[in-house]
Amino acid sequence: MIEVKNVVKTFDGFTALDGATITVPGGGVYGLVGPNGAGKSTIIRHLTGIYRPDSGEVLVEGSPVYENPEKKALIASIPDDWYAFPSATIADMMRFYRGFYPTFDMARYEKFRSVFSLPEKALIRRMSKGMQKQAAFWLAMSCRPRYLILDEPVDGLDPVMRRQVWSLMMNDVSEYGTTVLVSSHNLRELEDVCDHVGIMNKGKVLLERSLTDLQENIVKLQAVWKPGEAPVLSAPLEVLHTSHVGRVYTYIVRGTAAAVTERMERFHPLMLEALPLSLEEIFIYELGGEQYAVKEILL
Amino acid sequence: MSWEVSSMPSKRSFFNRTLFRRNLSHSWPLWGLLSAAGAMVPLYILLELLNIPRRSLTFPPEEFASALYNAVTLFAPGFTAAYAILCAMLVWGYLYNSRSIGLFHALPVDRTCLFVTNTLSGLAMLLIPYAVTGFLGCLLAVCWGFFHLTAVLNTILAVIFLSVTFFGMATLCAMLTGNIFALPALYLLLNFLSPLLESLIFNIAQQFLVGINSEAFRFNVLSPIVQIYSRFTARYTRFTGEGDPTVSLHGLWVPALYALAGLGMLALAWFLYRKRHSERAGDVVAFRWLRPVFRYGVALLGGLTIGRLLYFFLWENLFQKGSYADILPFFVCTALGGLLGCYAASMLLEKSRRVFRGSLPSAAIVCAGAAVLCLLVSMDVFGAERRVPDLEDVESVRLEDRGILSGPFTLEKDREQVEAVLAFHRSLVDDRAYIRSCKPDWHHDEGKFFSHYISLTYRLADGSTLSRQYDLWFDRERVETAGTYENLLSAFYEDPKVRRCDVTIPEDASLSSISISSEYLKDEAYGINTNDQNPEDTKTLYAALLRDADEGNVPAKDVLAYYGSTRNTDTLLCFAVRYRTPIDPWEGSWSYGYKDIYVHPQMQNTVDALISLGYMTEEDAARWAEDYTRDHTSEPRMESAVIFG
Repeated sequence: MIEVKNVVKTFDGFTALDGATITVPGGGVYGLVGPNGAGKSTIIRHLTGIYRPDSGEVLVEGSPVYENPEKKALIASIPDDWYAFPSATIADMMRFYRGFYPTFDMARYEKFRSVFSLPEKALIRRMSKGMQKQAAFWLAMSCRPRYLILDEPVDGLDPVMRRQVWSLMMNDVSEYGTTVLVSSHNLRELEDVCDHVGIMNKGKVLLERSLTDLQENIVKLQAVWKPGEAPVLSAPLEVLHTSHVGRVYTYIVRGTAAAVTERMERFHPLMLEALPLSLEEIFIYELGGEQYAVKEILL
Repeated sequence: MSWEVSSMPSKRSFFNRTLFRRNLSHSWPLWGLLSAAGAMVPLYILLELLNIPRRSLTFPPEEFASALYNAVTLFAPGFTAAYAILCAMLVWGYLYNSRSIGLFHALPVDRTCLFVTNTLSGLAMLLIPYAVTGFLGCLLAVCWGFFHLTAVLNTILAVIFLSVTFFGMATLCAMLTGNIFALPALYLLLNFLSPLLESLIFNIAQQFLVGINSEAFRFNVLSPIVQIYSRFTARYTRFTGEGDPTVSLHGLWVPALYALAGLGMLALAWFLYRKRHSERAGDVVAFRWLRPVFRYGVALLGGLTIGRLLYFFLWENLFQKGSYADILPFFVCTALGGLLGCYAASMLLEKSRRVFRGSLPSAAIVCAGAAVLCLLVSMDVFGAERRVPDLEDVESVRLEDRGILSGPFTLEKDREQVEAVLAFHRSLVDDRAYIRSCKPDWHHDEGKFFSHYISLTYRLADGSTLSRQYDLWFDRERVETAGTYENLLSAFYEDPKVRRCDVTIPEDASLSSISISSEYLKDEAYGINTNDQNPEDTKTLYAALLRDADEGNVPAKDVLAYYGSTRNTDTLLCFAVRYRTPIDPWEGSWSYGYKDIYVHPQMQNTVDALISLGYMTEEDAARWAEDYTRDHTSEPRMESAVIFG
């Protein structure tokens, strides 16, 4: 498990993290979302031991990660701006990683050769951004990390390779219990893979929940009423949003689909249907009523 | 696969082989090239040896030792200093880029391990070219039978000391800076900072204060490269003429001490590395507390250098009245230079050109600092200008009056004469306002003023030295006024003991030769070196000179003599007495000196010796005395003077 507790980090007066707190349970995929400048990369640099927090704690399995080789050996990361030595090939970088990570798996590295189909002897700096990203995945996953920390991981990858990479990671999660923390500003990207989501803005974590919790507690209903008979919904129904086109009304209501449907049936709609919400919609309606500028975050 | 099996806790490691190998393989073009260049030296010697017929081959081990010592004292310090910074840039280069520092600091090793491994890599890069060159040289020496074990061991030690010294310093600079360009700049500055600052401050002091000299740097100890070059030397006894020729290495303790300091710097660098924030990559300085140090340090250097240049170009050459600086323009120029430095530093720190308003408080501090500096120096707050030691504090004083005295001489036991020098020094202090204002106009004052360059160096009872230098004008009228420095010096030169000192070589010196120059020498030979004729002549002539001094035949010096005298110089008879003095054995071998002594016809013992040794005929001597008296007795105070500026 990874825990970030009340971490504050300032750079020359600019507060990049302002008491950020997240808890990443083991053996799943945690999505960290937020707009540019929210503090996602800063929190990731703390998790990988690059930055030391001004205050607060960054713990991996209960121990601070900063200057802790034992814990850092459990983590492989792919930063947004992954670095390879200017004169290095993939084979050179493999030897470099192998010299540091005790869990580096040569058999796995060989196995991934056919998956990634990259020229091992070519200079990495001459490769395209997408190829460099693939190389980073190849090397990071060959380290067999217990924690895989990814900052905007699939930027630059083509759709086929995106699916391939996610498939490999999901396989590690299910087979070895790998914990994946992935940052992105794109909720749609994470929707299919995340178990937990944390949303950040301006150095703070605004919300952190499991995806199931979110999806089970909010429902979108579409109802058709007789002309002029649309009821005014009130407590105990907690309606977060209402809109209508003609006689078709759309309600976003807090509660499980079954309970909300049962209560709505009492108003005798001509037609009633419960629909699932996208992750993006959940965040908009969950937080839209509060003071946070969620739309701004998601756009 | 079970994680518990694959990730057993590992013991703490201080070294990483992969990183070490990567560092060396990454930098091989550099150390490989230098090793190849170094290997050319033994190869060249080998070809030379192969080219020499076997039977005529004489290459003793002493020659090998000499070559090693020359290399390690003359070449190695400079080379190591330059190469160390390149090695430091290679191994610490990752600290200056946010991407590379991210890679390194995310690796499962702690900073101690990274530090130790990178330090060892850097030292290995430094030492490999030396090792290759040394190994091949030793191999050659063993094969040809001129191997010198002591020299090899000394050389190895010296190279290790130098490498630790300079790499330690470069590593400390790497930890203090956050930018790859700032690293060599700081390293260069630190190597020469103390002599640079001291010379700049002395230069400013000289603009305001009378008598301040800038020759003796007191804090060179802070500048390893300067100190090592001045104190770490190869000493050849063959030149002393004592026993068989030998060569030895002197001052090995100097690089040894600096190597200890280098280890200290490495320890400090390690401490700083552990405290250093990764996010400082790209900044000029790596720590926040260094920002004011950098800002005001650059402002100080700007004030002292740019300010001085501005004053020189904009005021000194155009408007300055006397020989000393005008304080207000000097302050303005110093403040301008400081402000330029301050704003440049702020731009570098903020990585922005928009620093004008934000740096206004710093600019105010810089202006205040420039004002304080100018006031402190011009008002002589530390009393440097007024300082004259007490008689009981003076062990000896060395006096030099260039162009007037035969050469510098030192007074030690003659306390009366030492007191006379102190009285002269006090009169200079009392007359400092006059000295500061005195700048004669040669077009109108011709024949009235005479220029003197006088240097006083006291050795004090506490072991320290005090040096003062004066460019003085001697006014013909003031020579006759009691208590003026002109009057006191003139009286001092009349003293028979001073006259003897003027022609006497130092007590611990040995006489080398006397060169005689005159148009009256036998066979019209204008110049003769006594050693070329008979070395015994040197002693005979010098003994005659001393007899003349003892008998009071040596005339007093005239303080109103000066360069460019219109008096006839064709009738002069000059002795250039050369001598050498053993200096501190740690320093090297000998110090060489000479005295230019002008013989007067009344120095009868010397003239007789010249005739008896056959350098002059009696007729030539008589002709010379007649011509000399005619040419040199027409001006006031010339009755007994030997004059030449």
